[in-house]
Amino acid sequence: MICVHMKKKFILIDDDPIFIFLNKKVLETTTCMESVQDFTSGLDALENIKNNLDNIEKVVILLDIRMPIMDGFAFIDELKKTVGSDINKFIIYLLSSSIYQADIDKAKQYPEVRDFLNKPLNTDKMESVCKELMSL
Amino acid sequence: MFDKLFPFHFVLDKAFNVVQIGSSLSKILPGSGNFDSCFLFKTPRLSVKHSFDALLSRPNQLFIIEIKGSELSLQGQFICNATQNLLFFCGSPWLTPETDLKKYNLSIADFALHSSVIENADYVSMSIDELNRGAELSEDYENQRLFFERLFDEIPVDMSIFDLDKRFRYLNRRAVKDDNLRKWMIGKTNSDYFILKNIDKEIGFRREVFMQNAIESDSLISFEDIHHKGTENEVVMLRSVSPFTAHDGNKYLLAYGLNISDIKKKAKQAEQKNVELEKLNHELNGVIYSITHDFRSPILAVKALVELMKKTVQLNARFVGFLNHINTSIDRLDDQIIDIYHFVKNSNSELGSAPVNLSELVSEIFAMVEHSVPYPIELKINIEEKAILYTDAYRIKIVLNNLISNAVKYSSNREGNAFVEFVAKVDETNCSFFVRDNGEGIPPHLQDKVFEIYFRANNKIAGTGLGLFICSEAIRKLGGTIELESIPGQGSIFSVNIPNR
Repeated sequence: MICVHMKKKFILIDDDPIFIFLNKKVLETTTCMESVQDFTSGLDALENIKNNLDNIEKVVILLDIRMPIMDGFAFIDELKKTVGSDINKFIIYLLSSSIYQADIDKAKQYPEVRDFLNKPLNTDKMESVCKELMSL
Repeated sequence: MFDKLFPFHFVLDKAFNVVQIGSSLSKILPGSGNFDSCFLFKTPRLSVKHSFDALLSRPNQLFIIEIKGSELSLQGQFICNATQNLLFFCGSPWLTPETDLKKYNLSIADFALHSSVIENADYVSMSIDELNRGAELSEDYENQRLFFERLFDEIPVDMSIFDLDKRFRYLNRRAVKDDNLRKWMIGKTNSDYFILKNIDKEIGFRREVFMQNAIESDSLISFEDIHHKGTENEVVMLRSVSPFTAHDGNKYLLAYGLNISDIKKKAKQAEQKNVELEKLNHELNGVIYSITHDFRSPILAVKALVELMKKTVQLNARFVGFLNHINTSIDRLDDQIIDIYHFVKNSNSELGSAPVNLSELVSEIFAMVEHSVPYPIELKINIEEKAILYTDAYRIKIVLNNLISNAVKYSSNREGNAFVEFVAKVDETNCSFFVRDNGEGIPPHLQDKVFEIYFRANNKIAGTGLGLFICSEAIRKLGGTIELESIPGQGSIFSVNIPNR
């Protein structure tokens, strides 16, 4: 049995609305989602986070790496600057369709990044993420 | 003493009478008398009109005087003893054939040491024959001197010799063409020259610093002089200064300069080209990144949408069939993109070296691909590791990925025992392994071709025709070899040998 308080709030950030749609669908089938917010740009997401920081207790961010204007890594840098020590409120998963090893290596240099997930997300992948999140 | 210096001398009084004859000259000229009865001016021809005063007015004139009644001539000059009103002719035989010397019983002892007949003190005790050989030798020396002088002038290198005060002692013609300027420069410094020529004094000062360094470190120092820097006429000289000790023990600096403008220009062009190529390479990597990422992104979206459709909508079997075809096509496109990425990355990226855990890597790859066949398949793995394998982690992964996923794809479940076998031996210097499947094998006439680009031996199973090509290219980069053994109907063995480094 899964307690409600263990369910997590999610933020999806991806410039491709089809992936937003798909990932929302996948999240809906999982057991650990309490709510989901989506943004097609990192800047919008940052703005929203800034305004609601006090209300955020713990949130899971599924973050695309390759986005115009602000890519996933730049988003993390900005988020750290914006929220300061509140960064530990955010559990970040990087999403990418890239097989580019440099991205994976770079992701490893960010302690804020919990894991690197290959696109597309599917229910199986998301369930194993859920299991991990439940234990947190 | 005077006679010792000039054994062929004679003295004239004001009346032009010969009043004294040197000891050696007396062997040729028995008596004395008036100048004209004894001698004849050959050069200059003073035979017409000459007098004591005429000779007196030519203190710096070289005379050649024939001794009358003989074939001999004397070469020398007149020196005046004003108090006694006497003229001393100081000279020695000129261009004297050996036979004439013998005729007058003249031996080496009859000559002063400074005489041109005697080139070296060692010859003093020589016979006339030896003396003549000495003359030949001196001619050889002169020829050699001229040869080397010419050589030094023509050698396509600026050459100069400095004393330890950094003053020119010698320059060849390549260094300074103008003969007068070259003479002027002897005893001058680099700075003097640059001031005279009114050119960039900095170059001159700089040279002197390098020369000082060469003196102090007692070693060869090289540097580059750049004239007309940044202009079309830019000249780059490679200069070296090196201390050297001459045969007489004196220390000098030997300097040479080589015009390397052309080499420099070419090097610069090559460098520019290299920068351009590197930029292009960098851009290409960016393009490849874009292709692999941006092309894959929508492909993966389609795949996910197809999956979603199959799960959320009740479809009839025909529709599911269509969706599966879409999936297969999309997978092929995705495989192509991934292969192209690896192909380019394999040819571009530098060779690394990292410890590789074969057992882990093989199991990991197998786990990823074992579900690509609809039947259970076993991985038989046997690794004998006497040493840790060090190789390029990226490329060994490409190789194993290709070979193992191929082995799974082409395996056979005809006897219900589909398997992939991986056997490896690793020691300090080498790693050999093979990947074996029990599939249908490859016909002998196609076996040579499987590593060729875009070659596909099988139409039934989807492939890009790039996998084994990339695999063999990666092995080549690792410095290894790959071989195929295959028996149709029984299976294939791919054997790989790579160095452990």
